Amino acid sequence: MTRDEITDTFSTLGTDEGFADDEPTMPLVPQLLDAKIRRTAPPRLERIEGDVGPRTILLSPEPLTIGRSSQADVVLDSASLSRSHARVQAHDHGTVLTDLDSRNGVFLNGLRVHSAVLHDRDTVQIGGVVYLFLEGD
Amino acid sequence: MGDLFVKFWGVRGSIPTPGHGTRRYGGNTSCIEIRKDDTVLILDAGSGIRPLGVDLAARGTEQLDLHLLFSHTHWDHIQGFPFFPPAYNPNTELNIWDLEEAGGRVHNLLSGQMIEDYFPVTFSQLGARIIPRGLQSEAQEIGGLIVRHLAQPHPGGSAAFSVELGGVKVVYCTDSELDLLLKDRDHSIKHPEEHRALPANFVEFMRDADLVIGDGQYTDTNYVRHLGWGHPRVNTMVDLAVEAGVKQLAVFHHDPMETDSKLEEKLADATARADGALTLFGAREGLELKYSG
Repeated sequence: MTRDEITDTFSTLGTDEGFADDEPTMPLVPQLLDAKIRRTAPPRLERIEGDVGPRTILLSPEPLTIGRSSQADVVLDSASLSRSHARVQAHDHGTVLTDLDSRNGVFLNGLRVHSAVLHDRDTVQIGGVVYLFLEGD
Repeated sequence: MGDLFVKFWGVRGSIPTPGHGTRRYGGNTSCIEIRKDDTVLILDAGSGIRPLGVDLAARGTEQLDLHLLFSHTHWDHIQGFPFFPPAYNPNTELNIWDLEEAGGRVHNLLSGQMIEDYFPVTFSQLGARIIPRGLQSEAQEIGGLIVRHLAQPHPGGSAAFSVELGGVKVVYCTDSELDLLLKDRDHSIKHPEEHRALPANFVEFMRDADLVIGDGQYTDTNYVRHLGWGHPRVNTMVDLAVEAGVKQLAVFHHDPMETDSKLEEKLADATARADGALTLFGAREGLELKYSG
């Protein structure tokens, strides 16, 4: 369900529109709406610095490689990246970022790391590109 | 010389604190993995050793050669051991290191916490080959790593460890009430802005370390309510690390009452104290660092 569809669904908040006269209604509160929206959002990286590659990288249990090579799942065409630079994978127990022995490293909140479990609003720097990690739900 | 990997599996003090408020840094009690090739050092067996054990089992190594070292044997540093999967695996060789003069005390305490009143499996039923070993008082070689230790102020005593590989040095310094070593602690508490000079043997033990994993449980404010509890003010640890020329300080042994947001306030204050002399960060579960020796 998209955000617009959810917004449409809940646009009758506080009215009887869309319900039969005898249909029981549940209380609809902003928090519930917010929770519905968040459930639709996968974990993702949003680019906040740099100008190469996609603005949003959606993450899943399938490992995703990021690098300069055309063989990478996400290609960042920048000399500051190694051909195969980093891997990100959203496991059940958390999203794991791993440096694939890159030349210039992977940085979590400014700290060079070999690997890390990401948490909401962490920043991840890969070469000259900085992402904000959003956990989704 | 190869690469040295350091991974945080448990960073909390006193008691596991799972829950929303500790998600970012983690709620498992003390456990650090230091790895070089197939040699794995495990520093303390708090509840973080359980996920480490699960991960070790998943790595698919046929024969595990593990070395456990304990800063001390308070509950939060041994409580995870009965839940450590490799201890049940006949293909595991589990070396349990203790100070040579302690006469196997650690081994006896690990065994003692697994009598049937506490746990359904006794120590003697574990499948691993468990070997008690004594740490030499000077430098001890373990799988190509050089390990040294230093006695620390903590109720009942504790040990800091340094681990060296070539030019890389990592120091584990938890459960250490450094403030007890200050010449005039009361004056220092009244004047927290002043530099805190620690004894030369502590400075030398940390000298030029690439990473110090250092107890930073208390703030300048809340330490006064916990005098003698065995943990320092984080800023005392910062002063020591800066004086020793340490490159990175991972603030460790987070207070169980400390939520992620409170912890980050403390880290911000400690970072200001360091004033750019080193890189300071909060130890958090799942974080793995690599150093080339």
